[in-house]
Amino acid sequence: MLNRRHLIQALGGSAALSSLGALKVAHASLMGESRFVLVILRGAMDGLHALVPYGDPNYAKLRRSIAVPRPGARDGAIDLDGHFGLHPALAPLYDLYRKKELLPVPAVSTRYRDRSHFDAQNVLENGTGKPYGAHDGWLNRAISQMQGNRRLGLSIGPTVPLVLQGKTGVQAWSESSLPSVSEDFLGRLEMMYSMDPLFAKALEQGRMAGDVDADLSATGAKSKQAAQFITASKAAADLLSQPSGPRIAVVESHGWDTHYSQMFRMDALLDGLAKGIMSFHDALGYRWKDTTIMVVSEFGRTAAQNGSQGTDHGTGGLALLAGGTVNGGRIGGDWPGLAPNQLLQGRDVRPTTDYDSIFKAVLQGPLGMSSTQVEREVFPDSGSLKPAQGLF
Amino acid sequence: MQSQKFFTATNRFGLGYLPDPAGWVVWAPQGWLTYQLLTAPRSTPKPLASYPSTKKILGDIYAVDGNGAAKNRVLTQYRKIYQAELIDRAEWHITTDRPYLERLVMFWGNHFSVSNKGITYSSLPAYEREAIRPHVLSSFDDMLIAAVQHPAMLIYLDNVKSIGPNSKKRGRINENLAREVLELHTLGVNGGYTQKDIIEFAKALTGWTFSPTSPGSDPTTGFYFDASAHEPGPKTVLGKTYKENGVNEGIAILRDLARHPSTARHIGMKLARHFVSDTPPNSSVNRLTHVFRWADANLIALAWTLVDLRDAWSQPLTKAKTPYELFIAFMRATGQTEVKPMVMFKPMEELNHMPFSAPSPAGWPDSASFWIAPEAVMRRAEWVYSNCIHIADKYEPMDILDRTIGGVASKQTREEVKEAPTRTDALALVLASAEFQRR
Repeated sequence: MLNRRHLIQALGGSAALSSLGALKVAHASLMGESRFVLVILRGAMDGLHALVPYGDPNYAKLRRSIAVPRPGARDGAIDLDGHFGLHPALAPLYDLYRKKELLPVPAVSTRYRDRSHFDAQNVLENGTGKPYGAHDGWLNRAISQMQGNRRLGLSIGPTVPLVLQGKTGVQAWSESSLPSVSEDFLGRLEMMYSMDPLFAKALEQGRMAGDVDADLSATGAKSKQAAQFITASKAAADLLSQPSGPRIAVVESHGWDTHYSQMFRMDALLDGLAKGIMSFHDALGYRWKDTTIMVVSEFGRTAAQNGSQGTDHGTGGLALLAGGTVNGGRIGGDWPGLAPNQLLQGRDVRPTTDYDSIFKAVLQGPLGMSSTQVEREVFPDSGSLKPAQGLF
Repeated sequence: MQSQKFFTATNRFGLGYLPDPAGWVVWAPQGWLTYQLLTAPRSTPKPLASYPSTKKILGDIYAVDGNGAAKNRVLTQYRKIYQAELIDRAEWHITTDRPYLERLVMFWGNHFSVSNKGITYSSLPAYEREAIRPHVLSSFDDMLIAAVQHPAMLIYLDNVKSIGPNSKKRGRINENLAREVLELHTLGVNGGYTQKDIIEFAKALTGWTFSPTSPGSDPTTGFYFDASAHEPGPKTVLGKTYKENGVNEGIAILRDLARHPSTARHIGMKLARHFVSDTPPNSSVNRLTHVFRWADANLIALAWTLVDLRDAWSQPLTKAKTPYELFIAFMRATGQTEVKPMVMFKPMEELNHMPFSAPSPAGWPDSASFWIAPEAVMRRAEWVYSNCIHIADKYEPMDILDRTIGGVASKQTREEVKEAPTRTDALALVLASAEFQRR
C-alpha cells in the first residue's frame, strides 16, 4: 500500500511570499504550537444517530426500527449526561469526554435552509452563508492571515476541498491515484447497472469486497470508506506532528448519505470516525493539548426514519469538537427537543447554533486570530453572527 | 440521438465515438466500415512511421555488454522511445478516422501476442508495426510467417535458445514456439496435432534467431537464419514430410498450417468471439470458417465478412471494452486528443492492462467476465470519476450521452444521468455506464 501513496506535493500559491511576508510571519507566530483539524463528513451525517437523545421520549417514536438502544441495553448508547448518549461505535471518544476533551454540539447548521448536498457543502466551506457566495474557502482566507514562509494548510485526498481553496498555497497528500468514489455515486451506478447482470453483479461484489481490502486489516475498519478515512487521518496526524510540518488539516469522509440501511452503515462509519480522531490523539502526543479537531457535515437528517431503514435530508446536525483545547465533558449549544412542535417544519432538528459562529470561535480562540481579522478577512458580512462562547 | 447501428459501428468495430457530421455512419454503417478497408493506406501511420526498427532497437541494446552505466544509458534511451511510441499510438487510436483498421491491428496483435520478457519490451511496438500492421489486410499466411519470424516472438517463446542436437552448434531443442504456434496461432488446442508434431516442427524452426550484425539478416527486424544451429534432415509434421531445406522448411510448414481446416475453424471462432459475442452462435463461426477457407485465408475477405454478419448487428452490448478500449473511448467521447503519459500509464497499471503486457502467449482473454470483475468494475468507476472532476464544466452530460450511447442507453441510465446531483456525477455516470463500457 505504501508504495502507491503520493508524496506530498505543493499546490498553488507560489506568490504567497509577497512584500507582506514579514507581517505574515508575525501572524503565524500567533498560532504558537496550535493544530487545527477540520473533518468534513460528506453526505449529511445523522446527528441523532451519533449523539443519541435517548432521554427524549420522542426519539424512540421517531426512530422506530433504527433507534440506537438505550444505555445498558445490548449495543446500547454510552450515557454522557443522563439525556444524551454516544453511539457505541464512538466508544473510543468516551475517554476524551471523561477527560473533558470532547464537546458534542447538537442542532448545528449553516445558514442554508434548502436540502441540496452540494449547495450546502458549498455554504459550509465558502463561509458567506450563501451557495457560491465566494470562490475561495474560509479556512484558506484564515490561513492567508497567518501564513509565513511555510505552508500551514494540508489537504488530504485527491482534490483540495473548497474550504482550503484560495490564493494561499497548501500542501496536499493523496493515498492513491484512483480516489474512491462516493456511496451515492455507486448507488446511482447500481441503479443503472440493474439492466446489465454482469456489471450489476461485479459492482455488488466490488462494493462488498471492501471487507477484505488490505486497508481494512491494516486499520481495523469495518468498511472501505471508513478505512480510507482512518488512513487519511493517520497521514494527516503524522504530518501535523512534525515540528516544521503543516498546522491546519482538512480530512474528508464520504458515505454519510444514509437513505437506507442506516444502522449497518453508520456502525462502520462512526467506528471509522472514532478511530480516525483517536489517531490524531495518539500521533500528536504532547501537542494534543494545543490541538483542536472539529467534525462537521453539511446538514442533518430527518428526525423520523424513512421507509427504507434510513433517514432523509434534514437541517440541524451535529458538530463535534475534540482536543486538548476544548472545554468538553458536557453537551454544548442549545437542544431544541424532538417534540412535533419543536421540530423545524415538523420534520428536522431545529438548528440553534450556526457553524460559522463555531468557526469564528476556533479562529479567535485556539488559533489566536484577532476579531478584526476574522470579521474583516475570513467571514465578511457576517457581523451579526457572534463567535460561539465557552467552547474553549 | 444516435442509432443502435451507429453505436455498433463505432464501438464494436471502432474505438468509440467519432464525429459524423454528414450522418454517414448513421445511415450506412456497413458502407463506412467497408470504405475503411478499401482505402486503407499500406504505409505505417505517420505518427508511428519514424520510430526505430527492431533491428536498430535490439541491435543497439545487445551491442552493449554487461550491466554497467553504458547499458543503462541505452536501456533508458529506448524505454523513453517505447513510452513515447505508446503515447503516439494511443493518440492515433483516438484520432484516426479508420478505427476499424486499428481494431483489426489490435485483434491480430493479441492473437499473435508477444509480451514483455526482460529487455525486449522496447521492441514490442515495433513488432506490431513490422509483423502485424502490414498484414492485417493481406493473407493470414504472410502475417503468420512475419509474426513467427519476428525476433520479439523468437525471444519471447525461446526459439533463440533452440539448437539442433545434430547441428554444428550441437544443443537442445526448445519446443516452446512450435507448441504455441500450433496451439494458439494456428490449429487450436484440439486441432489434431501430437507431441511428435511439436518436436518435428520445433526441429524445423531451429536456427530461426536474431542476429542484427550477421550478413543477410533481415534489414528491418534483424531476423537471421543460423544454419549452424539448424537440425539437419527431413521433418514430418501432421503426416507430411518436409525434406531438409534450411529456413524454407519452417516457412513451408507455416504455410500448410495456415491452410489447415482446424486453423480456419480456430480463427473463425476467435473472430466471431471478438465481433459478435463471448459465446458466438455457430452460424457466425461457420460463415467465417468457410470464408477463411474459400478465400485462401485472405484477411480482407474476413474483415468484410465480419461487417456483413447479421449477428454482429442484431445484438449490441454483448462485449465489454477492455481497460485500454475504455480509455480510448473516454478520450474520444470527451474530445481529448492529447495523451499525457501519466494520464494513460497510471490507469493502465491500476486496471492491469498495460499495452504489450498480456499475461501469457494466449494474449488477453477476450471475454467480458474476465474484464468485468468486482475489483475491476470499482476501479473503472473510480478512474472514470476522477477523470471527470476537472473537465465536467466543459460538457453537457446529456449531449455526451446522446452522441455516445444514445442508441443503446437504458431508461435507468437516462434517468440517473438526468437526476445526478452535479455535472461531474452526471458526466461520470454516462462514461461509467454499462452501455459505455460495452461494445
